[in-house]
Amino acid sequence: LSRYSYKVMSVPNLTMIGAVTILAVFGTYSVQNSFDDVIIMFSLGTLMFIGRKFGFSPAPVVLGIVLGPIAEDNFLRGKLIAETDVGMWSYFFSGTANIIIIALCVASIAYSIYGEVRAHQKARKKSGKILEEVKAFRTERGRSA
Amino acid sequence: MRREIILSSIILAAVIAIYASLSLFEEPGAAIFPRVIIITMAILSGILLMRSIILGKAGITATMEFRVRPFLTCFVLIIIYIFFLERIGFYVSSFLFFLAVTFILGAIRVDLRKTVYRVTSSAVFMGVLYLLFNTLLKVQTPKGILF
Repeated sequence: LSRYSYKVMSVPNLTMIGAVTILAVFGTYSVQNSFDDVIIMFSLGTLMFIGRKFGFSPAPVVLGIVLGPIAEDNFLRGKLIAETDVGMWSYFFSGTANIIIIALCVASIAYSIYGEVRAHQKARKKSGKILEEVKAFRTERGRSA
Repeated sequence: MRREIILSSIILAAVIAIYASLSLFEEPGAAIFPRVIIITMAILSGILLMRSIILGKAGITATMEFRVRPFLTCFVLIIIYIFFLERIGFYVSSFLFFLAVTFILGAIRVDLRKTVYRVTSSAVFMGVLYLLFNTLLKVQTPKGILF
């Protein structure tokens, strides 16, 4: 069957737009038989389409929708345990595993910022060098003329 | 002012507005998780704003071509489709939506052959959907006055 799967590529774009929209609406509705989900899907789809124009990736939003309820349930469970135990701060911000995970999160954000700033500085240095070379070439040509 | 700075400022303003609306929660315990998420979002959007200011033009860049007219046409068509979905039923509205997309966004000249092809492909697609999901898998679809 995979031999013929490439034929999907020859389907006209307009047919694909219609088919994908209908399947997306159908799939979203059939999960909980809820029309609100269809409206959420459409709103987020439109927002993310516009967001991509500004360089925002839709993947974190999808992850947020999928993992959000799981995170909320577990956070509230943790909060209930913490309130009867050692308190919220000590429960969430102490212990080896917690500190390692928090440190990894902070490090990943800090590293991405550091990487971008470094790449930006490199690009500025490079463009400065090119400008200097162009200036030097022009002055040399002016002298020889 | 740069586009990225405006965008990150809007996100920051939205986060602050949402945070202010948390006082409307009748049960204070219910606002804890949203508050944690909003504070995290505020920190991250602050970082985004700083990044936009420091990096300037090298910050966020457009990744795709954006054509306004087809986008708006699609947007309006989908809104009309969703509006009629629960009123006239899933299968009829989907069939009409499929036809509308191919006719409105499609070629300017419409001849008989193309029209027959488009109507047939829409009907076949909806027929396959009906057989697969309604008859075989018994999945619920939005029911309206027609089908």
